[in-house]
Amino acid sequence: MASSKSILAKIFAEYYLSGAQARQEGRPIAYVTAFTPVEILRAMDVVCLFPESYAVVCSASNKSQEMIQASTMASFSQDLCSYSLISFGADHYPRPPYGGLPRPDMLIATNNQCGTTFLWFKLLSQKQNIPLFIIDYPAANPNQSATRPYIEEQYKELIKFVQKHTDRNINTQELNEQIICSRKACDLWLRLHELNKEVPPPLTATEIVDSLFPMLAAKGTPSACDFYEALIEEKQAIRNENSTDSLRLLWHGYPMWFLRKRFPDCFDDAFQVVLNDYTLWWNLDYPDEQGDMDALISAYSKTYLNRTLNHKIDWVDALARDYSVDGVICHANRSCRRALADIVPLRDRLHKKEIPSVIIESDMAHAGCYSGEQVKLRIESFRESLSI
Amino acid sequence: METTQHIIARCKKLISQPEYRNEYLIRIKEKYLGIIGYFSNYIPEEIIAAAGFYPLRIIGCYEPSKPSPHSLYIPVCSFARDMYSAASSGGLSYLSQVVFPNSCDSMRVFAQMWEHAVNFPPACVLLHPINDNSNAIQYFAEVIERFAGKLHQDGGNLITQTRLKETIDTYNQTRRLLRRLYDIRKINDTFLAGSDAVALMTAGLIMARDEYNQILSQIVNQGPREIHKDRKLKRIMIMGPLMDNYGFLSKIEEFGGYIVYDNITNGSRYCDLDVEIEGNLYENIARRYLTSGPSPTLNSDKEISDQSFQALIDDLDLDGIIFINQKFCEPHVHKYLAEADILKQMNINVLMLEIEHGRVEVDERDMLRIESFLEIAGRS
Ligand code: SF4
Ligand code: SF4
Repeated sequence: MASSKSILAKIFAEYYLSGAQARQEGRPIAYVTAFTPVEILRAMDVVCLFPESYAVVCSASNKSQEMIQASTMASFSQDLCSYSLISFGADHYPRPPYGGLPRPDMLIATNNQCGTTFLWFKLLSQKQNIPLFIIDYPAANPNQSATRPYIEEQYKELIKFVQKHTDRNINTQELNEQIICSRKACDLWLRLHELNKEVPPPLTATEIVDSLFPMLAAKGTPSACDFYEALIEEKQAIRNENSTDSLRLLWHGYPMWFLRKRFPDCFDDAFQVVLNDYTLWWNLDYPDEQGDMDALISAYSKTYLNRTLNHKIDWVDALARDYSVDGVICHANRSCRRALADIVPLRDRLHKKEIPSVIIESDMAHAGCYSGEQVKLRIESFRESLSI
Repeated sequence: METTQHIIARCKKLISQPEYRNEYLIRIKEKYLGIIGYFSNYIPEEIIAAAGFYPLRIIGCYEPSKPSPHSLYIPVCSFARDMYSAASSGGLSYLSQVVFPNSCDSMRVFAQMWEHAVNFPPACVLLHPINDNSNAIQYFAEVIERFAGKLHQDGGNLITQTRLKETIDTYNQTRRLLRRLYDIRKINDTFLAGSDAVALMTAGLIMARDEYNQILSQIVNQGPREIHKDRKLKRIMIMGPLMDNYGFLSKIEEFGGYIVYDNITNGSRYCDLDVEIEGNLYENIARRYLTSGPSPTLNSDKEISDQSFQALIDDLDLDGIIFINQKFCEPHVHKYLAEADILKQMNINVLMLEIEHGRVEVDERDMLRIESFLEIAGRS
C-alpha cells in the first residue's frame, strides 16, 4: 500500500492541476463552498474548486496579510470573513499562490455553514458575470414536512442548472458510487480521530488538521478513502509506545492556518491538543437506508454550523467527555459569526460541568489578527491553572 | 384635526423616546392577546395581527445601553448588538414573544444568544427561504401556515380566511398610502422632508395599524398636487438596512440634500407590493414577502440591473446616492460592493457611510463627508 504521505501529495497535485487540465479537456469548472453536495457535480463531470481551501493555502503560505490588504484597497471592508477577503484579494494581488484559481464556469454556494458564502459568491457572480446557483438549507432538520421537498427540488434545479451551462447529464451510477465513497471517507475520518482517545494519542492535532484536505478535494473518490486507510494503518502501527501523564486538550473551533503548526507553539507531550472539533465538522452523516438524494439532503442539512446552539454545545460537551480532556481552548475566530455564537454558551456549559476552558481571540486565516505573545500568555496561564 | 407637524412630532417621539414608546405599547397591549416583536421584513405581520396579537417591529432604543450581563463577543451588526443589550437589560419585557428571521448571520447569532442568555420573552425563528422562486414560495407558504397554527395554539384564536383577508386588506392599505406618499414627494420637495417621511414610515411599524392608516391617509390627502423641484436642493436616494435614525438623515438635509427616495428596510422595501387577496392566502403572503423589494439577504433575481436602476434614477432625477450601513452588516456591505461599480459606470455619485446603530450624534468625520459629497453631487 502506498504511504499516506504519497497519496496526500498526489491528491494535492491532482487538485491544483485539475483546473488547468479541465480547461484543456473542455470540462466545466465550478467554484463551490465547503459544504456543497459535490457528489452531484462530480457525477456530472464538473471539476469542483474550493475558494475557501485556496484561502487556507494562501494563509499557510504567509500571504494572508498582503492579500487582505489588496482586497481592502479594492474597497472591501476588513470586517468580512478573511477567506472571502483573501479570495477577492487574489484578483488584485500580483503573484497569488499557484497563480490563483482558474476562472470558473459557474458558482455553487450553500448557506448550511454561514450566510457569508452566499453573499461572497453572489458578489463574485455580480462582479464577474458568472452564473450562480444557491442551495438554501433553512434548517438543520430536513424532516420538517416542508423542508425536505424544498431542498430536494433545489437539487433537481441544480442538475438542470448544470445541464444548462455545461450540456452534461447526471450519471446516477456515478452519483451512487460517490455517495458510498463519501460515507466511507467520513467513517474513516471519524476512526482516525478516535485513535486519539488513546493515551497517549498517536496523532498530533497538526497531523489531523493537515489531513483534512482530501475531505474536500477528493471526497466521493476512492483516493480519499485510500489516504485515510493508509494513515490509520500507519498510526495504529506506532500506537501506545510510551505512556506519559499528559494534560489533554480540546481545541474548539478553527485552527490558525498561518501558523506553522496550525496552533500556537505552546503545546508539548505533557500538554497536548488531542482533538480539534473543527475537523470533525467534515464528518457528515450520509444515512444509508435511504435513497441517494435523501442521503445528500440529510448529510448537508446537518452540518455543524447549521445546527441549533443547544445541539452544538451538547456535541462539544460530549466530545470533551469521550476524549477525556482536561481542558478546552476556544478559538473565538473574528471571521466567522456563526462559529462565534458558540463561544460564550460553550464556556458557560463547560463551567457548569467543571471543565476548565480559556478563550483565545484571533482569526483562522488573517495573520494580522493574531497576537502571538498575548495568546501564548493566555495558554501558558491556562496550563498553569490546569497543573495545580 | 391633528396637524401634520404635530403628527410627525408624535412619530419622532415614538421612535426616539423609548419611555414614550413603552407607555404607548403598554396602553395598547390590553386590547390584544399580547405584543409579538419581530426583527425583519420577512415576518408576515398580517398573520400575527390576524391571530389577535399586536405585531411590533423592533427598532432602535436610542438610550445609552446599560451594561449587559453577557457579552455577544461578536461582530454582529450594531443593530443586533443594540437590541441584545436592550433585551438583556429587560428593555423588551413588555413583549409576549419575539420572532427572529433566518436572514443574516447577525440575526442567527442574535437568536441563539437570546435563547441562551435572554430567554424572556420566548423566541422562535421563522425559517423563511432565501430564494424567491416558485419552489421557495411553496415552502414558505407552508412555513407561514405552520406559524399561523403556532399562534393559534399560543393565543387560541383561529385564523379564518375572512379574518386573514380583512387583515391583509388593512396592511395593503398602509402599503398603498405609503406608495402615494412616495409619489407626492417625488414631484414636490416642499411637502415633507426625507427625515420626516422616514420618521412617519418608521412610526407605522410601532403604531396600531388603524390609527396609523388614518393619520397616513390624512397626510397623503393633504399632499400637494403641483410639481415643485428646487434646483438648489440635491436630490438624494438613501440605501441600506433598517434606518430609524431620522436625526442622522436630517443632517443630510441641513447640508442641502433632499432625500427623495430610499431603498431601506423600513422604507420603499416595506411597502412596494401588496398581498393578493384572491386564491390561497398563505401562498399569496409568501409570494409577496419573497418578491417585494429585494433585500441583499435574499437570492433574488430582481437585484438591480443596469437598465432598471438607470430608469429609477432618471425618474427620480437624482444627484447622488448615500449608502448608510450599520457597522458589521455583511449583507448590505456586499450589496454596496456589487452596486458601487454599476453606479460608478452610470456616473452617479455615491457615498458610503457606516454608522453605529445606537448613536444619535453624527460624528465630525461623517459630517464632513456628507457636506463635501453634497457639494459635488449632481455635478458630474
Ligand atoms: S469561516 Fe465562517 S464565515 Fe468564513 S466562509 Fe467559513 S463558515 Fe463562512
Ligand atoms: S443590519 Fe444587516 S446584519 Fe444587521 S440585522 Fe439587518 S441585515 Fe442583518
